[in-house]
Amino acid sequence: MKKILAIVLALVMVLGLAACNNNGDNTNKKHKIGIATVHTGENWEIVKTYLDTVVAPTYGWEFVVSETLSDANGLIAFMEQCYAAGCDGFINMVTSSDAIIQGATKAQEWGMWFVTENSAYVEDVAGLSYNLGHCGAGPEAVGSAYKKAFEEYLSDGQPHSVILFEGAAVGGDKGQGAASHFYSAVGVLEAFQEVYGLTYEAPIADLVNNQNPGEVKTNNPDVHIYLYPGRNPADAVTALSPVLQSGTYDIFAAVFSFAAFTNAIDEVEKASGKDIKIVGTAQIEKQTKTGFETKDSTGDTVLNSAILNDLSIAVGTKCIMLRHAFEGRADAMKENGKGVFLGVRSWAVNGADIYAKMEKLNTTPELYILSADQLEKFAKEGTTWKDLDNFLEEVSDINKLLSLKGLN
Amino acid sequence: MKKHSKILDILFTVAFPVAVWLLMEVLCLIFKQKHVISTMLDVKTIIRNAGIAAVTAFALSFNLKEGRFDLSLGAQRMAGTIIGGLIAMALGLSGLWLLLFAIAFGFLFGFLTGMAFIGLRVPPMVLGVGMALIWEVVPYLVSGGKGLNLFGVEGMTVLTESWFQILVVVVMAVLVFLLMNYTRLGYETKAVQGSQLIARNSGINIFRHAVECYALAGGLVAIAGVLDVSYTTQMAANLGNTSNGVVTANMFVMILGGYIGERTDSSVGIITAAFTLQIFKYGLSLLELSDPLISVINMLVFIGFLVFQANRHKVALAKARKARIALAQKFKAERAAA
Repeated sequence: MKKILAIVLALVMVLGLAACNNNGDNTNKKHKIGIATVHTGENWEIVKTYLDTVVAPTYGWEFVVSETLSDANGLIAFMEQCYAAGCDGFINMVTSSDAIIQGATKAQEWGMWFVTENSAYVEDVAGLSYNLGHCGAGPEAVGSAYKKAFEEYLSDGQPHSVILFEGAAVGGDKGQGAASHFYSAVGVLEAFQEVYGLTYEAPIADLVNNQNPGEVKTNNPDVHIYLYPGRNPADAVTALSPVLQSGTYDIFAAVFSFAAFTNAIDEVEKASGKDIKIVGTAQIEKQTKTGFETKDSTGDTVLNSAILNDLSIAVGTKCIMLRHAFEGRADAMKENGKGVFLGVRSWAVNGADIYAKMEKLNTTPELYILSADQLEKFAKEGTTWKDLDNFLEEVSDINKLLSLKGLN
Repeated sequence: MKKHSKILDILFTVAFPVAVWLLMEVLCLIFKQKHVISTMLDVKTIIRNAGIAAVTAFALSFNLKEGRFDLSLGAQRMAGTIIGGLIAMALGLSGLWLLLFAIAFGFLFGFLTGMAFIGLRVPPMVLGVGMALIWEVVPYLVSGGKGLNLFGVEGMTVLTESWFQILVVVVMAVLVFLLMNYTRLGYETKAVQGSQLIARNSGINIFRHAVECYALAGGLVAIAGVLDVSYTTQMAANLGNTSNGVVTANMFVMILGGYIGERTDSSVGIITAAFTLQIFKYGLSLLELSDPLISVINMLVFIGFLVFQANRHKVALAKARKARIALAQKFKAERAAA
């Protein structure tokens, strides 16, 4: 009797395992998407709300979101959990090349659609059939936004000098640092070069790829540029304090965490009575609004210009890419069989009045740039990655974007 | 221990920051034609950073000097600061209240960690990793993942005032000095640092003592968190056991402080060490070295100091041996002569 029972149970197990093999049609399947995030804070909470209130009900998906990850090991461990939980799509936000290569390779092994939030294109795994490619802040576009913002400042005919907190710019053009930080620094240096006709001692890329902080030789005694590469704003605040106090610089730019520097700058402004303009990469969130609305000790606004990025449009675009893949149209999201790079353009916002309109974005389900209607529209058969790219280009114009959302 | 005159002890203590300042001043003048301290803002920056480092080192010292390395201190700092800050902001209270709430929550998280330690009897480092993962989740959930952002918040300016930060550090130093020298806790601490077994056999309740140390460390480290966030305006609610780096970065301060404090007092030693190392770090920044290079130099100096600490008794031993041999030779010579 025991033997028969054992054989029956073994058969049940084998048949049960066989039933797990799903090679059939999955159009009616509820898709589960794993998201490996590196983000925290208010901006990330906006994205999570977007996923829950807009993407999930529109596409009928379920999301499994990681805690904040930082490296390839964490990514792979989380991907294994997602695979075990039945995820068939994956959005990766861990941007190091090794993480992307390992993640895309694992996804390929498991038959899981994979798309990465990154500002640089990783060629090594672009040909994998389950890798849809990248969508992130378009690095050249961020650089252009910085250039545009600075050209406005520098066009008054006066000599200006800047301290630039470059973040992870070093190696950003080689897939080692952050490409968006690299091109932000390039944009600033190009703006100075063009407005003042500066001749740098080395090519701009070499100047940005210097690990050591220091002043760039501009060959113009009235124009000074100080570059500070570093990933830790707290250390940078201390290190830049004596540079700020020198009284030489009247503009401070930070490619991230501009708010961390505001107290240090305000102290210098109080001591010297000199206004220092702040330009920073920012998101559409409360902190940016506070920056534009709060006055410093000189009576100027704390934040003078923001290079705005929106994470929800980048995440929404990746969801559209996954949707096409689920419906058997992955090729529409690829170019010559390879994953593509879709760059989300940044906006240069010079002033509180423009920001007052921009801040309304992401406040209701309809006011996300890729709202439910847009998600449906771009998920239709016949849409290609080029349509998505054209849309990203279209909304890079602030006026067009505000008109599209009825905020003008 | 060898007794020195008070004046020599004071000179020994002051020599550390002065020597480091002189060294950095010379290096900065040679390589950058700059002074380490040029304006009052430089002084304020050094005081602020030294204050944060000193308070963190005080917190570390409560457990570490008794052989318990609490790896959840960073998480307690984060949890206390974020939760205290959010409550103060929700109630529309000032920065002073933020500080008080943060201390209270830091104290609570430290107390609970201590209770877990005596209840579970898990090795402190293992327990610390587990508790860190738990405490990191608390501010993450409470803040909805947003952490604490004081940027533009009314009423918090008092926290960034130098006089306030100096006052906080001085009060902490006096408190630690009194606790360590004039209370039962200080007496028990010295006994447990000597030998936990003997302390226990002498009637000291080492379990209650451990909980007290954990709780005090939690409260202190939350103060460091508030001083830090008041200047940089934000603290992220990080997960994944990433919160302890800011605490362990001050290990050198604690160990150097212990050495300097041998001639005066541990609280004086820690404050002096914090100033010494901040001047060193500030000087390295002025030399325009990259962050990774500054970290490498700091760690090399730290390791060098540990090597010195581990071997400094050898000089005294060698001297004693030499004296002993000389005495024996003299005795032998006298006997031969006789």
